[in-house]
Amino acid sequence: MISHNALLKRTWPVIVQYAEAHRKPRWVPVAKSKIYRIPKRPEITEEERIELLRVNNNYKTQMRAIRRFYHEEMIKEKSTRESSSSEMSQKLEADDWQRCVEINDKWNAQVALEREERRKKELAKMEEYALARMEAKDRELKERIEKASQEIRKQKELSKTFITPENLDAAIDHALANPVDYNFAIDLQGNQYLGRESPAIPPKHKTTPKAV
Amino acid sequence: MPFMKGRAPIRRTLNYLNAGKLVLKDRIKIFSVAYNIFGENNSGAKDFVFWYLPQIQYKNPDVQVATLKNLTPSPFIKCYLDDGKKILIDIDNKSKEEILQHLLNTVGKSRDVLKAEAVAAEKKDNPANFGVGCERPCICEVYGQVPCPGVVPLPKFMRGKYKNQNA
Repeated sequence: MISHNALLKRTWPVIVQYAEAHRKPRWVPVAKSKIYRIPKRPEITEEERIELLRVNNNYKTQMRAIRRFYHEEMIKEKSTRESSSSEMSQKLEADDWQRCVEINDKWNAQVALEREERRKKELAKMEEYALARMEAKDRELKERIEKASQEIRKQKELSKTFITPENLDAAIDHALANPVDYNFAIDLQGNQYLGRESPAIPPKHKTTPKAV
Repeated sequence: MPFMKGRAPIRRTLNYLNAGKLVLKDRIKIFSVAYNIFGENNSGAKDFVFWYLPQIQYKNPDVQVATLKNLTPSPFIKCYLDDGKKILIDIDNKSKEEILQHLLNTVGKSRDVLKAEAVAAEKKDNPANFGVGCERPCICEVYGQVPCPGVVPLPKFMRGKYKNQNA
């Protein structure tokens, strides 16, 4: 829109035309002359009123029916579209799940197989270990028995020289007959020098104390 | 929990949690792992629980994640579905990477699905949007905003009819 100032300063006469709504702006209050004016109510005869009521009622009923028809149709259409798509997606999902379950079954079977193999190997290893241990135990037991029997044999050998009540007198006689003198001197070579109570023996001769 | 304390505190960082790849399918409601802490065949399951379970929990806030420690002869994962079915995954003698890959192939959402979901989530992501196809058709539904003048008349100081009466 051209400003007021521009219009005043114009050199050539210009004609500006623009269409406006031919009514008061909304914020302009009621005209002073019309403040107390009360518009007259339209006069409608009773017949006309009844007729208008009938026509209007008819119109409203029919419009409502049409509106409802279209509304319901829209809902129906929407629901069918949704259900078909959801059915499709459900089927797809079920297929996908089925596929996943198959993959998983295959994996489980594979794992079970591997585990069986591993178990077998472990069992074999355990058996081997147990056998080795049993063998070691047996060997040890055998060794102990061997050692014990050797000891027994040795003791049996020795038992021939033991002094028993039967040969006690003989042993005493023997001891009395062969007195042993421990009261001897010894030199660096281990030679014994007997003396005093036992007869002296030349130094080169080595004597050992007799066990009784 | 202090930030840099404990074993492998990287597991609690947001970057690590967000990097988790396994997003479980919607029908899975409970995810349970049974494993032992000893034995060579359990080491993969143990590491899986140690490294990947935080990520799974973070990425699946609506799924119950349970662990059953030292209660089983051989390690396994069991998922309970919304229709009462179960799926059992044997993870005996498998490394944690193998387990995760297998889970991605079976109970996890595929990459395409995830991408589509991300796009769908992004669209209605901005809660400030309003209008057709948004969460609310009109800004006037927000508390504190001016109601539509068709529903509730504007206050008089906003209406020209009254504002300009004395002008």
